[in-house]
Amino acid sequence: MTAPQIVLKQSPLIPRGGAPARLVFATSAAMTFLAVCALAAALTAEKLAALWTDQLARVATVTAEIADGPDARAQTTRLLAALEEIPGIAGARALSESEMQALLAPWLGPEAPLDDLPTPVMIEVETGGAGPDRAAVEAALARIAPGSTYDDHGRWRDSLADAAGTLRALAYGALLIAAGAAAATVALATNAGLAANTAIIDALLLMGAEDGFIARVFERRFARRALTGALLGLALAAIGLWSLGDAVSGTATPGGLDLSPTTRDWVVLSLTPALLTAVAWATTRLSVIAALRRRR
Amino acid sequence: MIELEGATFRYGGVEALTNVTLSMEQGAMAFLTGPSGAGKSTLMKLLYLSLTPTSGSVRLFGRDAAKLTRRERAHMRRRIGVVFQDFRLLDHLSVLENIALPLRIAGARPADYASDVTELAEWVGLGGRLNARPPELSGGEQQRIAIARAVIASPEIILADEPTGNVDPEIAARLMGLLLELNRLGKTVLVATHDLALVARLGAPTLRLEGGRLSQAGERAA
Repeated sequence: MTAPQIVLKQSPLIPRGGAPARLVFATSAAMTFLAVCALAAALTAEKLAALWTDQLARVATVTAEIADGPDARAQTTRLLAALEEIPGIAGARALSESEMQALLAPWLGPEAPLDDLPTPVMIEVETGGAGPDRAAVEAALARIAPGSTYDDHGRWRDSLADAAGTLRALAYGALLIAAGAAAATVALATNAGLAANTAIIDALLLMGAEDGFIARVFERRFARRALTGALLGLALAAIGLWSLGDAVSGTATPGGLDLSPTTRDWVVLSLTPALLTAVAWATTRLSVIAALRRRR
Repeated sequence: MIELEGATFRYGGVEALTNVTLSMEQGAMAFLTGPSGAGKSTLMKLLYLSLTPTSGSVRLFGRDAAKLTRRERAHMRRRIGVVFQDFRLLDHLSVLENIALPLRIAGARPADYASDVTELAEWVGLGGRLNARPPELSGGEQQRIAIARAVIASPEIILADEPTGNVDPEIAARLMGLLLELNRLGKTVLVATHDLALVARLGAPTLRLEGGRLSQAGERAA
């Protein structure tokens, strides 16, 4: 007959709970929530900027100086034909009267008498590939309708790209600040935990525990708390982002873009708790080892 | 194995130990006696590497304790089993977990030592309280946990600071019997105690501390 196997538990070497562990949990949740929101905002802004710059890149505008008169229509047709012959231009069309009316409505009202106003002919140019050679376009304009201007929206595209870059930098800055705040809190909590458990740590050291062994005791405690806090922060942020996604998705956004996070976005956002936990783990280890080295 | 050479220790301006020279060979056993405040606990702390002498030296296993790295000190402490005067038990752990601590620190697997720990706990009379926490136990029971914990990892040196102070005479005799048995197995044992009757009964060599000085400085324990 074999003897019954004795199972020996391995309880944590420092008591559960305590204010330092709760502090790590709460800070981790708050910092993850803020970091995820900042990252999501940056991802959305980037998506929006990409869409707008893409749309702007595919369309250019010619403001054609064509004097009213019997020859005006023929001159416009000639200009459109000349533009369409330039490599990099997929098509060109003059805006209709109703489109012009809609364009000017914000300034002149819906009933603006366009026939009585010296308005230029607006031509929408659809570009393709790398776009047309600007000099060729300007030469055609000078030949057929002198005084006309060509706008490829480069200035707007650059501004949007700059804005998206700034938002991305802000998001990474927020992430760094969140990680820094989490690290500071964990360091504080670790030192409080060490102070609260001095007798236990002394006993472990006198029984031959190495610094790394004691560090692992605290790492497990605080990294686990940081992870659960970070997952809560992620869950709260996810609820907010889903609500926001529902509110702004579909046709409500310019260009019909769905602003809710994509699967790739969720993967990026889901890395935030892992990052915060890694920061908590490393900070705890460094704090414990530094504190133990200050004593004998 | 244990060598103190002119070891002096001062707490601030107060000299607790003065010029203590002592040598114990492997397998020796001795009692350390003396009145309260004589420096017994300070001498024990020097030996279990909790304190470093203000002057003089402490050599253990042939190494100068002052020259050990943190890692070496930790490993040397594992070769020394200590019964602390204040027990130093972890109140949130069970009797079994407290006894098993040195093995856990050394990285042993619970499955490998569970039966040894249980057997030793039963041997010191705690078989019925294996899962109790120290605050639920009497002083004597806590002392027995401390003794079991000190010997569970089979250390080469056993230092016991008043190990029978809180136990009844029968348990005291059993515990001293355990220390004698470990000594017979080749362990070096030093016991600080007030209990002169026990010392007389067991007849091991006695080192007497008085006012921080060993009355027989340089005595070689048998």
